[in-house]
Amino acid sequence: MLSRQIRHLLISNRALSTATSSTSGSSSDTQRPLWRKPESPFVQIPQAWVSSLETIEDQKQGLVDLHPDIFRTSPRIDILHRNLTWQSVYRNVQMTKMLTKAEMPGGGRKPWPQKKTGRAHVGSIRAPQFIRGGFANGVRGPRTWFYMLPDAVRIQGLCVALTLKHTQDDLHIVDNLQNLQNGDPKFWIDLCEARNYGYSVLFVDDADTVSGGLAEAQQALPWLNVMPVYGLNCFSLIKYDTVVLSRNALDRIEERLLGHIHRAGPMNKKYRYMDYKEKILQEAEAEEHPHMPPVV
Amino acid sequence: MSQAIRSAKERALQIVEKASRIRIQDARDNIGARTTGRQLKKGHNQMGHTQGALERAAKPPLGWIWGDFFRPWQRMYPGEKLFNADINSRREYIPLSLVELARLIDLGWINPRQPIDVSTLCATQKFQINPKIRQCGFDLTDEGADSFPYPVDIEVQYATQSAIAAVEKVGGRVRTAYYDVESLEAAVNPKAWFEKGRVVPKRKTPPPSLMEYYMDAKNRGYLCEEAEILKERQLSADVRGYSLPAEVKLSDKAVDQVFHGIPSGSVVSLADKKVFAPTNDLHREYYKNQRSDKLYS
Repeated sequence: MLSRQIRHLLISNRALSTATSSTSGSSSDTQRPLWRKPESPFVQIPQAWVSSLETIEDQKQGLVDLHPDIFRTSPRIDILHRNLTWQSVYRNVQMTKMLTKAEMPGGGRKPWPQKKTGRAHVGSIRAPQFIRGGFANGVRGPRTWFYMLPDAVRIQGLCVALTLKHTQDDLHIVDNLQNLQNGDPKFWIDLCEARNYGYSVLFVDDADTVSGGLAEAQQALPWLNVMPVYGLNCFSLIKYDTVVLSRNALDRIEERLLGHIHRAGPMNKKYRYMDYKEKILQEAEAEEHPHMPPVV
Repeated sequence: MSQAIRSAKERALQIVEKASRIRIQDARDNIGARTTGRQLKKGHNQMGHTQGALERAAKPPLGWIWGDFFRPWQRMYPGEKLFNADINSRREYIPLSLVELARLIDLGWINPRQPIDVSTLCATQKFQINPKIRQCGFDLTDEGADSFPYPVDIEVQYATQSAIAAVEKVGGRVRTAYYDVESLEAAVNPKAWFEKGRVVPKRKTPPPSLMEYYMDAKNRGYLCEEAEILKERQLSADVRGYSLPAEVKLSDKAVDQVFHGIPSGSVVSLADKKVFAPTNDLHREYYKNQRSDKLYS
């Protein structure tokens, strides 16, 4: 165990500084078994400090092992790129619809006789060569750019994003996010400053809702955001400078991602609209908001 | 540590560690990952004016190889008439070699300490069986018979004698068993079957043409006597020159049973995790009777 710690600390020089500055409380190691841990001698087990958000200073409570298949994968920037592109593109809908000659009003009458007028031979004032005529080969919306990335790419993208965050020491694990004591924005600004969290922070928890100090701070500070585990995505992971996971969220993320990595069956499931139409159309039925009614 | 650093992944991660924080605009594709289509030059598409001209052009009829359009290949060589004569009636077995089986066990897809049957093999999602197109199950082939290490209890629909010997050499047990179309459909995808609320079917006895195979102890058929199988087992060990270890017998299925532990005629509720056996005498009588599968003789 000790040798592994030392090995990890030697690799991560910024972790070395944090480890030396930590108190002697690292004896309470939060060891846990990793499911389907790779046996290869080339794989090293990444680790992270577990701390608490109750104090401004980063007081380490122990080390936790992370799964190498998720937090130490190959940094495939191209897979990340595919995920980010997909996330920004799949929801685009072009609603522009340029009217054709047939759809413009009028234009049924031949404006002038075919011959002997010296003018062009035309059949309708809405022909495309006319000013105020219809459009030929115009933009014909609604057009969608929707597509689904294969499951394997999306899973790998999440693993890559988490790996990048952990490798660059931008991933932090805390014991708890719920019902924190202090909700003062000044406290949270100082906390993020003292711990070198950067310009924006994303907190990820297992539960749907968050209450207590973090909720108050999140209302006051726009650069601080909270997300449930099921909302985790590549864009948010990369957008925020620092990602803070709770212990429950860490367990849940590993369980879900490993479950998908090792699942049986094809990884390129077909998502056809006709299969999901009913579900999508009923999605917002339970939502009630006075100012922002759901748009389906 | 030096070993860990030598891997390409660790070297890449070392670069990432030293780099500044990776932002959205840093993500990019690999060089050459996306290429635009090659522009057609004048030299292309010379056989027609446009692609459409090629597509709509008159083509020679199917089977034409040379000369007259009215003498295609199948008329020039009528000897091939019986080549696939039984294609619409013959049974197809999905080959499962011992190498594949060992690999599935190695990778953790199959538990060798549990009895293996069609449901186990199909649950790995590595095989597709469609009973409706006369795929009748698995054929255990002997590829990798020299070094098959697992004493498994496996039930397949067809097995070669060398594959049987290879499994028995390490203490395993092979049975060949017949599944009719309905029970194979249930066994291939039990979840879908149970969710539809269908009754677990009864395995019918094989059609006359297969009766001989499944009553032969050489094939370890499920219809023959246990004593005969033991005799054949010893015989094959003597002939092939290996000593028989003690047999691993994990569990036994009844002759008409599809799933281990679920009697035929019952309904399974996945929501309640319960099995409901029939109580009506008429239903019990129906599921007690032996029935022969006359669909494919």
